[in-house]
This record gives sequence, structure tokens and C-alpha cells, in this order.
Amino acid sequence: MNTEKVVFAFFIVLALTLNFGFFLGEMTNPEHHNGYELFFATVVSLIATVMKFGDRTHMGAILLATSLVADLQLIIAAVIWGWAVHVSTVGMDGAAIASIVSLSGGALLANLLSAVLLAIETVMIRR
Amino acid sequence: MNYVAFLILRRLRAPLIALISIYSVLILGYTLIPGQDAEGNEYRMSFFHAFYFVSFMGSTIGFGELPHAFTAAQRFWTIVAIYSSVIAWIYSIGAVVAILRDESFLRLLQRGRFRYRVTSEREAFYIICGYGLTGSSVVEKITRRGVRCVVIDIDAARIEALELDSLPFDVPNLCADASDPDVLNDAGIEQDNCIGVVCLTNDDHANLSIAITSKLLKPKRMVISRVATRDYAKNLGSFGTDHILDPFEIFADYLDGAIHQPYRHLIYDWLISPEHKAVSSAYTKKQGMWVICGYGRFGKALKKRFDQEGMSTVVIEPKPEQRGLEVTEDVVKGLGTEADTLLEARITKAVGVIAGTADDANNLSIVMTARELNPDLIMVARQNHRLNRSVFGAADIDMLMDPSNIISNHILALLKTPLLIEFLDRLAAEKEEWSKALIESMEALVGKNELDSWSLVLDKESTSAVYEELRMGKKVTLEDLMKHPHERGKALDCMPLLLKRNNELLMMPERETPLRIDDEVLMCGLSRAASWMLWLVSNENALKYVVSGEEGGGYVWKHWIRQYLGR
Repeated sequence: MNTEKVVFAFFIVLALTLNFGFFLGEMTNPEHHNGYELFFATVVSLIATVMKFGDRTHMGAILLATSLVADLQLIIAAVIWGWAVHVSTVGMDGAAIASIVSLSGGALLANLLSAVLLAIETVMIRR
Repeated sequence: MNYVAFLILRRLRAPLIALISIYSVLILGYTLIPGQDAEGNEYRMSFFHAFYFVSFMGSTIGFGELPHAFTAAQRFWTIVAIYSSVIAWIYSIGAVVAILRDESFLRLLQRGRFRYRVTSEREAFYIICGYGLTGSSVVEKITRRGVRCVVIDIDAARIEALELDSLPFDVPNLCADASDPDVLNDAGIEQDNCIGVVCLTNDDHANLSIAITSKLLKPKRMVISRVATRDYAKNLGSFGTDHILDPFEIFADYLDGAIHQPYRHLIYDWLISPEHKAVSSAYTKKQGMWVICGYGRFGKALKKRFDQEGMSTVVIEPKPEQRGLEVTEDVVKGLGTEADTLLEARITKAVGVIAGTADDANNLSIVMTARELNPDLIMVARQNHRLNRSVFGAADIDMLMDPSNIISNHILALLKTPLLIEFLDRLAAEKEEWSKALIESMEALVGKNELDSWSLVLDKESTSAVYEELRMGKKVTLEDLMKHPHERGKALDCMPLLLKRNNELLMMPERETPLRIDDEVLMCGLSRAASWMLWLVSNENALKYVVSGEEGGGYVWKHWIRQYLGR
């Protein structure tokens, strides 16, 4: 068992699950989407990205790319959240939460892709 | 992406993860700890405010307690936040600084720069492996001739020395093990403009592996290797290394030539080394008995040649048993630094003494003692270290054997033109009178100046003008090429030495010899003549002028030449 691989897979899967948890719920209902969950999803996704730094394999490069996509989507979602709550005059309404959730949905896809790639890599090593 | 970027990113993993974790814990803490606003109502900081506060606090800018004055609980957390974020930053910055000062990182950077400089080299270049005494001397000589080279050495001190040596242009250099194929690859061994590899490392095995790598990649490219032992010389020869140089054998040949064929030796000396001896030095009496001090590689090589010529020798060796010698009348046990041993070796009857031990102080002592006993002796000494040059110079020695100088002169001759070495090989078969006539005409040609030599290959690439003329069926003779391109009545200060046609060598070709395509010609003379001739052979108008006297070409050319002549 390789400890580094365990930690690596842990962060990738955790990023996916947190993201999924945030995404679940009615699109336009702010009650269904917890800010803390978005925060954790973003932090874990960032850590997963950093862990992929400096991997010279082709798979490593693809994983880094998908992870960067997830970061980008989640950070934009967080920025929209902050803007809606503190800057916008209407506050957090259905439209704002819908765009936050759809952005996190995009990040979810990227995280899913990371997890699939990880699974494929593992299968190839087994062979 | 290159290795360097990967290395930096890899090393930055831990500090970045530490920063992200500490920041996220701090932000989370602020959102959970209840605060009080101005009216005394309880509130929770949002992520937005928490991120804002942690950002300016972490970078110690400090705008105060925002958005409202903190409660005691929030201040507790702020104390934790201040110290942990400062530590996280110190750790991260420290890690970055450590990377920048890291040996392996710096080596990677240098390697990357070296690779870039080699791949962007457009001119033909040589790879020189080993920058010791010989290597540095070769590099200096070839860069002075305007030839590019790339240097690899395993010792960092020597590479530093290269950077301090004032060479006419920048030489890409790398401190690495040249026997590593990766290193050779970075040095451009697979590039088409790498025209030769010179192996001068102190390790025969490294030389061998460099030579093999080069020969495998490009069998036709020239490989020159220095060698210290006979086994390796054979090994190198077995896969077609072009030139294998053993300093002891070369000097033994050189000395042998000086004794038995003084004129041939002079020709060799004039063509190979930049400073040459006077013709009169050939008259010295050298036949007779010689005393050889030291029976190592050098002594053995000399004795073999002396025996072949039937000359008597006496060997002085401190450990004759180990060298496979029996103490007889002609083998004396001892160092040779004491008068007793030298007298026992019949120094008073000898014509010359060879101080050939591996110790410079001993060699000098031998020379000085021997001179006291017999002032008429011819002194030959081996100089092992370059630093002792001035001491040996002061000792007034007739022939100094400086292995690094010998090898570097020889290599330079090879790099100038391989025809030169073919010429010198053929010279051995010629009679002394012939050599004498040749050296006298050389002296008439250059006097005390350096005798340069160069070769011409009559093909499309290097001598386009001559090639075109010959292809059209016109007659061009050797003499035509030796005319001054601006005044055909005047001859350039040079003479032909060798003509190579269909692998046959013609020594001292007649000047009226008509040339043919693919002929190779070796010329010698002043360097000035060389540059004129090399210009002439690729300039059609100039060539037409020297061949037929007609000033061909357009108005511009005529105008230009008139201006040039009018200077």
C-alpha cells in the first residue's frame, strides 16, 4: 500500500463527494445549499490540485487540468455567493443560488472525471 | 514543460498545502465564533468577511477589527490566527528560498541553459570532453582559430577555470560525467553540426564509452581519443576510433625522429607547433649512447625505438624487478639523481640523457647532475606539471616533453586538416635529402613566422567556384589557386604539400598539375595566404580572373575590386 496514493485518492474522492452534497437539492432554493459545504468543497479541491503538482506523467497532467477546472468553477461560485449576499441590492435570491449551483454542477463533472481517471489508472496498474 | 518547473512545483506541494489548510481553518473559525455588532446584537461573520479579515491579518497589514469590534472569543482566535499564519508564511517562503539555493535545482538550471545554448548553435562545433591541461590548451587553440566547441568536465573546479579563461567567445560548458549518454545528448552529439568528438578525460574507460557512443550514433564523425594504456588503445581502435593519441608514444616518435631523421623531425615540428625551431638546430650530433632515467611507459616507448634503430642505451630505474628488468651492465638500479648512479651508467661517454620519471623535481635534479658530469650532453626532460614550466625553461633543456602540449598540438593539427597527419605519415618514407630541401623551401616561404597549413576539398559545398569551372570542362591548375585574386601576377605565400586523388597520395605535386573534381589538396604557408585562397575558391569572378585574366562579373564587382586595389 502506498500512503501517498491513499492520501491522493482520499482528497480526490472527498472533493467529489462534498461537491455532490452541495449540488443536491432544488436549484432555486437557497435553503437546500449550505455555504459551509461549498467552503469545504473549495478547500479540498484546492488541496487536491496542489497534490497533483509536479507529476510528470501524462495522466498526472490530465488530472491537474480537471482539478484546475473544478477550482475555477468553485471559486467563481463562491465569489457570486459573496457578491449576492454583501454587494447586490436584492440579496440572495433564486437566480443567484441557481447560478452558484450550476457552477458547482460544472465542478462536479470535472471532479467526477478526475475520479474516473484515477480509477482507470488504478485498473491499468493492476493489469 | 522542463524539469525545472516540475521540480519547483513538486517542492512547493507541502508549503502550499500548509498555507491552504491553515487559512481554511482560520476562516472557518471566524465564521463559527459568535460576535457582537455595535448595537450589542449577536452576529456570525460571513465567509466573505472572514476571508477578508484573514487575508489582511495573515499578510500583517492589519486594518483593525472588521466589520465590528471583536469579542473576547474572537480575539482569542485572532491570537491563534496571527501566529499560525506567520509560521505558515515563514515556512513557505523558506521553502522557496531553499529551492533557489538547492544544488540539484541549480544544476538543473545550468543543464537547461547548456542544452538550450547547444541546440541553438548553428555553426559546426566539436565536443571536448575533459578540460584538464590538454583540454584547456586544445580549446584555447581552436577557439582562437574561430572554431566553435562545447566543453564537458566532471570536475566543477575546471569548469570554473574555463569561465575565468579569457576565450575569444563564449564556450557552452557543463559540469557532468561525459560518459553518461544523456549528458552527451545534451552536448549535441546527435546534432548534424557536431563534426567531431575529442575525448580527453583522465579516465580511459570514460574516453572509451564516449568514443563508442559517438561511433554508434554517427559512424562517419571524427572521434579523437587520448589513451594511457595499451589495452584501451587496442579497444578504441577495434571500433574505428579515428585517432588514438598516446602522449608517450607520440613523444617517443618525436624524439626518435629528432635523433634519426632531423630534417623530417623539423618539418613535423614546423607543421605541428606554432613556434618552431631554427633549421640550424638539425645539425647537432645525436648518434651514440643514451641514458634513460625511469623505465615507466615513457621509458619503455623510448627504449623500444632506440633498440629498433640499433642504438645502445643504459636504463636507470629505482625498481628494475617490478618493471621486468634484470640488473646488468645496461640496467642500473637507482634514481639517477645522484652522481654515483649516473657515473655507473657511463654518463661521461653518453651523448644524451633522458629524464623521464614521473616526478618533476627528480627530472630537474637528473638534468642538473648530469650536466655537471658531462656538459656536452643533450638534455631531454619530461615535464609533468604545467606549473613547473618556468623552472624547466630556466634549466636550458634541449628537448622538453610536455605531454599536454604535445597532445594538444597534435589534436589541433588533426582538427585543422586530417590530410596533415597523412602527409606526416608519408614523410617517414622519404629520404633525408628530400626533407632537407622541403624544410629549406618552407623557411624561404615563411621565415620566422608561423607556418600554417590548410586543406581544400574540390567539391560543391566548400569550393563552389572551382567546382563549377571544372564541371564546365575548363582547366584549373594548382598554380591558379596560388595566385593573388587581385593581381594574378603575384603569388600567394604558400606551397602545395600533398594531393589526394582516388585515395592515392601525391607528395609535393607539381604546380602545373591540372585539378579534378573531388581532389583534396594540402597547402602550407602564411595564414594570410590561407584566407585569400579560401575566398578565391568560392568566388567565381575572382577565379575566372586568376585563371584567364579576364575580369568577369558585373559592374558592382569591378567597382568594388577597383576600390579595394586602390586602397
